[in-house]
Amino acid sequence: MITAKFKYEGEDVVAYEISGHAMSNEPGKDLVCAGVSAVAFGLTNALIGLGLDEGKVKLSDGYLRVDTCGADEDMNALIYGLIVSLETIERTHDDYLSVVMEV
Amino acid sequence: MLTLNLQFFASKKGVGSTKNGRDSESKRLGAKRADGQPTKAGMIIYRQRGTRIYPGVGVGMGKDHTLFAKVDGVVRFERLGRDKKKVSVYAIAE
Repeated sequence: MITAKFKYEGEDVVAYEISGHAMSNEPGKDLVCAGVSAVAFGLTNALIGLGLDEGKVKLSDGYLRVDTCGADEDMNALIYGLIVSLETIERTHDDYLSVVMEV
Repeated sequence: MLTLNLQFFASKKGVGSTKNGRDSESKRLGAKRADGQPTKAGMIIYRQRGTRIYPGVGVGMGKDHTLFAKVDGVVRFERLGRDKKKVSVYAIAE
């Protein structure tokens, strides 16, 4: 199961961490993994495009962590988009993806 | 910029994982009572990990973040700030 954790401080997300393996099918046919990967990489690249320091992005096998302290309004809107996109996947595939808010 | 790998969160090839290789039992999370549905005090409204839905009026939250009704009434899912949700139970007027 993939777990997507969003750490809140007040109203803002200060970090998100997506880790695990969906295992919804064999490698190469794992659609949940493909969906989560596309959303996570796409939104993270968008944050980098808006000025997020790439040093705040940690990447290793099946693990992505991004520190978003000090994110501006536009970045927070993108992070909100990431949450909604992942929750949309989770709504029909909650055996393979869990979106958790840490407050 | 990150280079997309569509199988980034897939298990590795040859690790012998199949569709059944789930690493955790599905916990049947999510809503147990829908918006507008009547409920009784003590009934579970929403099972969750972490706090995705916050407790509102007439709702309590257990240690495992499960939301339950504290009064008899009607369930209402409502917005909380920009990107959060809460659930309340409003007593039915006699």
